[in-house]
Formats: sequence, structure tokens, C-alpha cells
Amino acid sequence: MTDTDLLARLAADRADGMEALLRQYGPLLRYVIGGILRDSLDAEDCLSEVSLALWQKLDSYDAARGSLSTWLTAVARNTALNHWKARRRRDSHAAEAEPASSDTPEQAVLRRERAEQLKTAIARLSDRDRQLFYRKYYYLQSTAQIAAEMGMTERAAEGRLYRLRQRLRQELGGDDA
Amino acid sequence: MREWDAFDQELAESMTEIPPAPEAVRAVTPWRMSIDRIVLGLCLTCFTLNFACLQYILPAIGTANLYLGFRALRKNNVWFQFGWICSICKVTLLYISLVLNATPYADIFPVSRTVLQAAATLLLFAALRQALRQAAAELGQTSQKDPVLWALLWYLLIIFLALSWPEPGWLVGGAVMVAFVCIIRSLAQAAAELDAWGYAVRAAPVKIGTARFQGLFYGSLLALILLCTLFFNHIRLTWTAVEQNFDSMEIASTEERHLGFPREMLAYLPPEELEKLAGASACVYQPNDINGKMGGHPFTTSGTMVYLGGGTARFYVLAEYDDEIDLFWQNLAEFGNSGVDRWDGACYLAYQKDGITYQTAVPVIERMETVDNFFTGPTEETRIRARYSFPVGAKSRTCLFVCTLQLWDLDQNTPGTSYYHDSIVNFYRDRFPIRYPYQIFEDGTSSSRDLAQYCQLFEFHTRLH
Repeated sequence: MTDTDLLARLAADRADGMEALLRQYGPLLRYVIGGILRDSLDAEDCLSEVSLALWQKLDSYDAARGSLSTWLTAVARNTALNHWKARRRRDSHAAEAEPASSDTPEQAVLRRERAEQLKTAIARLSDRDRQLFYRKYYYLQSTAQIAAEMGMTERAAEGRLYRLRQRLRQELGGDDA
Repeated sequence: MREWDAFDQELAESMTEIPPAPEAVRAVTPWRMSIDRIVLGLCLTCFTLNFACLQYILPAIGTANLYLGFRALRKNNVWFQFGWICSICKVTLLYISLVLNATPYADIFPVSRTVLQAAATLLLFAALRQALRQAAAELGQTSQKDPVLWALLWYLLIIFLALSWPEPGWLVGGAVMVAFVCIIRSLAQAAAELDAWGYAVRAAPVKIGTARFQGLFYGSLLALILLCTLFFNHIRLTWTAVEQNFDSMEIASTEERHLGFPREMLAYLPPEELEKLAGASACVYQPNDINGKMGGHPFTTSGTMVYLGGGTARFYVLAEYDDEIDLFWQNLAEFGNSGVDRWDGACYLAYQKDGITYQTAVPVIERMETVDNFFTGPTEETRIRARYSFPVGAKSRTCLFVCTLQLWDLDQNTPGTSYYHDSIVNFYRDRFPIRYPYQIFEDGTSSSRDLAQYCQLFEFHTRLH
């Protein structure tokens, strides 16, 4: 079923369309979530959260801004990341250790500038390095998973990630390790 | 993210605001890289282009990609594992086959390597189909069109066409091209189907990375081929150090000398050759009028024909190579078209190094061949050839090339007339040692070979019986 068919089905019957969407894109959502949440129970919990989020946010999807799979990936990734953070806070009982991240206007501007710098730096990477970067920092995949899927040994993946990180640190002016 | 420092955290957080472009999202899958390799591998191994070494290069790339693709997916199900094992067999067979092609032992396989490779490719098509079907079935998915089955059927058609028309014309060639395009299309469809459910596939960890495997595979293959090519393009001969004793030889061959056998050639005759000359009744010596050049250096030849009686003669051609000529790779001596019967060929080599003379007898190849004669048309004739190489540092190198000729038939001989025999002997030298696949020096058709000829007319009177 094409994305257009799927969206038409969602518009006609939300529940039926949602079922079709989850059937078609379920493996993709599981793949994105599984890279961030290694625990299978956590991942299942998160999938439910993602389903709920999709149900709520589906109207905000704009086909002109990107493909459905890109949007679903972003929703799954962000939900899984939040899930992971919440889980970490619960585990460490450290709600107070991690202050609420409400930026001041100056901080927000700085963050946006930094994001722009990062976008430029990513655009300069080779295709392979760019994929490595996205897998590591967007999909938050483990080095083992990255290595297997990119046909590298773990050691080679670590080395390449290390060099990539050093390069970005240099370009973005991050802290020296 | 537990071990991450502030910089890593910042990068990950920033990515929430700058999500990747759709093409980057499309590239991040557990299967795309592997399936693309398998598709490429099957495409490159299911047809042959017989030019510019592509018949070796493309299967090598294709087979390596097949192995890498199946290796990454081998833990998903038993069919992927089967495909992986088949790809190991295929890659091993190809490796051995390509190396053997650089040696004279390319035909030692009891079964045709092409048949084995085609069988392995068929198995890989079948394994891929079953593997994808099983993986899809585990997710409750089914393929409506079964594209890999179609690819397999198109491949069977290619095999059928190749077997039925080993030398295809435009029509069959066109049909093969159509089948090949259909295979690509079917495999691309199979890969596209994975967009829906392929994310459930899991890639297996590897001990040797793709880049390192490719480097080792292609590097070692190329190195072995080069080594074998160089090794087998130098013909190793067993040389014996001899003490040149012209006096004893002179005594032993007084009879030949009286007939006019040249002293310089006599020095290279082994005892068994001298025995063959017992009873000789005439001898004609002909130096080559035009001394040729080989690789820009002087090349001297001379010929002697000794009449043995009964219309037969023993024909000796001595080639003396200039010390500057490189003769380390394959060289060939060959009696040219003559129109008479020839047999009992022999080839004796000699060289000097550090004041010592070394000699050896080279095995000759005698074979009946059809020779296309301008005047008489195609005729059957015995071709006599000898292949040899000299070691590094050899000086004063000579090759004495010999055979027996049936000059005339006594029954048809007309007394009182003369008989002329035109003799051509070709001496070839291989200038370029890297030749793939391995070729024995059987003719002088290659452009990288130097040719110098001995060409003379011998005259005998028919009163000789």
C-alpha cells in the first residue's frame, strides 16, 4: 500500500487506517525504538506510546515536508528518547540531579546557532560518515548494531566514530576530551 | 548514552531539531546494504562479457558481494544461512579457478567450472527466494509477485540459451540481454518489497569488516595471479654442466665433417644425434643470408641438412642469441609450413655462465594440424614445436632445433633432376610475461611477441638414394 493510499484510509476511517499504518510501518517503528531501548519490555511500552502519539499527532503530518516514513521515524525516535530519559530518571532517583531544561531566550538562540553549525558540519561529511553519525546520534544505536549493519567490526566502528567525533568537536569547538 | 559526555549528549539533543533528510532515513536500515550487495552479486554473476578481462573481473566483484551480502543476513533464517554457505563455495571456487587460470593446470577440475558456477548461482537464487519468503512469513507478510522466482526463471532461460547457442548471434544475444534486464528488474522489485517489512531483519556481527575482506580478497587474488603468471611464464629446465671437448667430438664425427657438417654446429650435437647421422651421404650447409633481429638485437641462424638415404634428411637449425636479448620468459621454436612429412623432432639448448657451459634437451611437441596453404588449400601436417626459457645471467645462448624430413618419395623420383626444399623455422620470444589466462607459446599471433625467422632453400640432387 502506498503512503497516499494509507493517508486516504486514515482520513476515511481513523481506526482502520491506524491499523493499516501500524501493520505497514510496525517493523520500522520497532527498529527505531529497538535501537534506543534495548530492553524488549521497554520497547513494547514505547511502541504503545508511539501508537498513541501517532493517533494524536497524525493531523500535524504534512506530506510536503517529508515522507511518511521520515515523519514516523522522527516521532518514534523522540518518543523513545523521552521514554529512555524518563526511565533513567526513575532508575537513578535523580529527578533533582537533572534540572528541568527550560532555556532562557539567549540559550535558545545559542542552541539554534549551534544546530545550524552542526547541520553544516553534517552536510560536509562523506555518505558513509553521515550514515554513521545519524545511526549514532539520531537513531542512538549501539556500536555493535552499527557495526553489524554497516559491515564493520565493532572495533573498526568505534575507531571511525572516534575520528568522526574528534572532527565534529574540532569543527564545532566542543570541549576537549 | 550512559558513557556519553556532554558533547555527545549535545549532539544527540541537537538532532531532535535537525532530523535527517528522507534519503538519509531511507539509507538507515538493517538490510539495504546486504540486499543491495546480493542483488549486485547476482546481476554480475548471471552473465558473461568476454572482453577487456570483464569475464574475470565482474564475477570476482559479484561473487565477493554475494558472500558479503549473505554473510550479514546469515542469522535471520536457515535459508539465508544456506545462501551464505553456497556463497562461500562460490567464492572459493572462483578464487581457485581464477588462480588456476594463471597456471597450466586450469583444466584439472573434473567438472566444468562454468557448470559449477552456474549451479551455485542457481542455488543462490533459490536460497534468496526461500529466505525472503520465510522472513516475510514470520511477519505475516506475503509476496504477491514473487519477483525472485521470476529472476530465477529468467536466469534459467539465459542458461538454456547459452547451452543451445554457444556462439550466439544478434538474435540470441538480444534475448539474453532482455532476460538479463528482466533479472535486474525482478531483483530490484524484491529489494523494494523489503521497504515494508525489511526492518525486522537483523544483521549479524562480523569478524572481518567489509573493506578489509575486499582488500584481502582482491589483493591476494591479484598478487597470486601475478605470481603464478610470472612463475609459469618462465619454463624451468634441468641444465647439466658439461665440459666442451671439441677434440673428442671431432674424432667421433669425422665422417660428418668430411661431408661438410659445420664445426660450430657439431659442437652442440649430443651423442644420440651423432648416431642418427651414421650412414649419411650428403650434407648441405646454409647460413641465413639475412641475419634478423630480435628485440632490436642481432639474431644469427644457420641450417644444415644431412641426407640420410631413402629420400629422408635430418635438418638442423642453430639459433645464436645475442647476449642482450632477454630470453627469461617463454620462447618458442617452430618449424614452419613445409608440405612434407616431418618427425623425430629434438631441441638442444646451451648457454654459458661463469665460464661453464650448460646444456639441456627440451621436450618437443609434435602434433598433426590443419594448415591453410595458399596454393594447395587446407592440408594436414605435423607441426613440431619446442618451448624454452633461459636462466638469468646466461650468455652465449644457443638453440639447436632438429627434425627429420621426408624430402621426396623414392618411387616418384626422376633421376637426373634436382630437388629443392624450402625451409622456414620461426623463433619467437615473449616480450610481455603477464598474460592471463595462462597460454602456452603455441603460435606467434600475439602482438607482444618478437619473431625472427630462418629461411633458406636447400638443393639436393635426386641421384641420392
